Amino acid sequence: MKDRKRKVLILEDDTSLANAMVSFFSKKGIEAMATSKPSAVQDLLERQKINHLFVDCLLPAESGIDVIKGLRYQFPKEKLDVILMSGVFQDASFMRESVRETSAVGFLKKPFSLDELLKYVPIDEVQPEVVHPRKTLYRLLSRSGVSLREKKKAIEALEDIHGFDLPLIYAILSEAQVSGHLNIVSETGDVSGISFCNGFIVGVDIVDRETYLGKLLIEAGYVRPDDLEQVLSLKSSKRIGDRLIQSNLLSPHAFAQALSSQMSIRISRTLVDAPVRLNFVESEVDMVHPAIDDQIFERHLHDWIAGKISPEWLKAHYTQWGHAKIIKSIHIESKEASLQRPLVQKLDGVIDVLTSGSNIAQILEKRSFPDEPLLKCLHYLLIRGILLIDESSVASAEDRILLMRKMRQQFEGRNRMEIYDLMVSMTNLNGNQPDLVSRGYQNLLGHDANFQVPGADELYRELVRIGQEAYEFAKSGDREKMREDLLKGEIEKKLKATALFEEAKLALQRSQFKDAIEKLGRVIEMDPKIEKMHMYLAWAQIGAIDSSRDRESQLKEIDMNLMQVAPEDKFDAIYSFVSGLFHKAKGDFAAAKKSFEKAMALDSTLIVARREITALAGMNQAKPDLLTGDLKTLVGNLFRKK
Amino acid sequence: MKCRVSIEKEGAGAKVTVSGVVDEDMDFQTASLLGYSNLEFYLAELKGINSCGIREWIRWVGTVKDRPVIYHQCSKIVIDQINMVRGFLPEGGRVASFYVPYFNEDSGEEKNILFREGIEYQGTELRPPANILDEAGQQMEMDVVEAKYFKFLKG
Repeated sequence: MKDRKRKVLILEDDTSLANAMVSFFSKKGIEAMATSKPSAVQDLLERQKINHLFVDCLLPAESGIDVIKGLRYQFPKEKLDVILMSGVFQDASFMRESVRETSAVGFLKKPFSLDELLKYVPIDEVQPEVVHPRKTLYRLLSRSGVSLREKKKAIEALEDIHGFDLPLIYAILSEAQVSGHLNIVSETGDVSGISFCNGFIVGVDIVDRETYLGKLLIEAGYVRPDDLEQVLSLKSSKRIGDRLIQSNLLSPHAFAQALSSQMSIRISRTLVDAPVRLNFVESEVDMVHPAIDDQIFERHLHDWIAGKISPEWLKAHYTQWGHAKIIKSIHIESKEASLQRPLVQKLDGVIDVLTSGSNIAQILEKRSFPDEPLLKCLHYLLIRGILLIDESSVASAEDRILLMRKMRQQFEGRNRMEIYDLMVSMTNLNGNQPDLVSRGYQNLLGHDANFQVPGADELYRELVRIGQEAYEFAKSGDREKMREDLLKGEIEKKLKATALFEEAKLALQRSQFKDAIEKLGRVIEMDPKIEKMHMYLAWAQIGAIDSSRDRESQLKEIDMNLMQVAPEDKFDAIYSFVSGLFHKAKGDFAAAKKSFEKAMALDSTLIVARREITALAGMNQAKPDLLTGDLKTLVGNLFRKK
Repeated sequence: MKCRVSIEKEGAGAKVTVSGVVDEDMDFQTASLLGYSNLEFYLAELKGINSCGIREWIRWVGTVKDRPVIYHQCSKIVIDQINMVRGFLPEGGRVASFYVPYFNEDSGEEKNILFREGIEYQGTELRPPANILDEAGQQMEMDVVEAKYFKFLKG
């Protein structure tokens, strides 16, 4: 057998034996699967790139030997090792003859010890793939029909994960319709949690108990600011919602809507760019209202992915699947609503591009769409189960070179701590185990460097060196202390970025849009994670719309930025104001006015919003339309002295 | 399932039994742990806990300060919190017994087996029972990720 990653298929109708064999191989780090159907074997051999096939000679419908003889033309002995098994046919001549007829490499007499399997799939030649529970979790995205138990076990096995992994976990628990409490612990030891009742989210508990209720009620137009102020000024032990309802200023339905939005914002706040730990306690949980059902969840999931998950994390995360292709799930038809979401709709033809047969690295390289929204769209569609990762493809030399280039790009300008964090994301391994991370990183790179392409070998060696330095840094002592030391050096940079951001905001207030764009670009370079960037960038882009360029594509870019504003920031007065500008740029003055008024309701001191409202009012008092205007006014206008 | 705490004086110490679900409705102020020289918690009936409950628990057992604390019959829920959240088992506290889930893939049967200090484990060394069988006499496997579940034994 060629030196290739081992993959085993077992054709056996005795499910307990088949499961025991699969489990045995898995524990040895060898990927294995089983089927009892001869009709499924050919497809599995093709798609899964199997190199060892264990076959029971006596199957219910046909002889295992006949199955192999039928496959041998397509899968000769150089490509596929076959090992026969039998508990019934065990005489020497039968064994000899069947091995000869099928070009098998061995014959196992049942019952046999599982260790005997290693005679045919030796593990000392194999560098077992390091599979962290996090990777196992994401591997659920490459299969449909995963059992509830498997999903629960995948979550149970998790220890240290990343805050950006949480949308997937929430989706799994929601879809599995479980009941219980998901407890989440941050790096600093703060405990928060999400409660589920039959898959509905019924409670969100986060440490920062800031209530967005007031802003939500105003933003949605349920309540006016002065009414809210008046109710808040009254001394009462009742909750704000109850007070408003009692004062007939708010309906219970509207309040329930606002509470649901508040839950969503609080869930959004759990999606932090930092490690977290979690466990899920299955227990009975009472249904309460409002609750986030599957429909609402699906909408929020879209917004969390669009607005919260950083492109850097996504790029690193999908590095390990660079060689994998994307396929449509059988559930695509039943999830039509998800296909209407902005991330999908705004990238015309994105599903066709993703399922074109190219692997993920190739798709990103083609640049049919900007990386950031494309990766977010992919992530969303995978988590929704609309698309699946097809891991069966083997990385070619070209794929490896492309992967290495992508990795090098991600490391550009990063310090050792950031590089190590990227390695953790790329490998989906536990950052507290540098040895494992280093091994996983090496597995990702591959173990040989003989690419026959100019520059590729040097790139490989450079990446090995970078990984080694980051590994040594992670092992060298207290990573947290080093993180602090490095951060101190970064603080000055971040302070400069913050100061420049304020200058950019001032430029926007003064309508100096080109200046603002230039400053915002520099801010992004200094601190890519600065909050609310998408909002202000959209503002600058609207102001700087270039009439000599294609207006539609400029508006599309702005729309993309607005879509990626974090859910909790959408209740910011500035967001409403910028939305108003966007509506105005599209010619929808009614919607623009509404947005500006919302902005004023949220922040009555927002002068720019007031200016826009005045400007729109002035436009409305412009000359009346000839066809619809009042005749007296029309005639008066015609003869009025200029 | 409302949380219930019962405290029975045993000499200078106390036996504390907690049952039900620990959540935001539980008021631990009505179950003061002060005034006892040592405390032994019996947690087999602790059926659930949410994030509010975890915070309240940590605050509650935190009042024990330097007195010996032993947890008995910890359900998986308790072990998961001990492994994940600092302070769930007070500093210096010990687990004297805990449940380990077992499972048989074929029958789907689940069982919780009590591991007792000195018998099924001693320090960090595990001595699991040799044969855990389901109703049909089939072997059952430990249904946990061992490296993760038994982490608390390493201190």
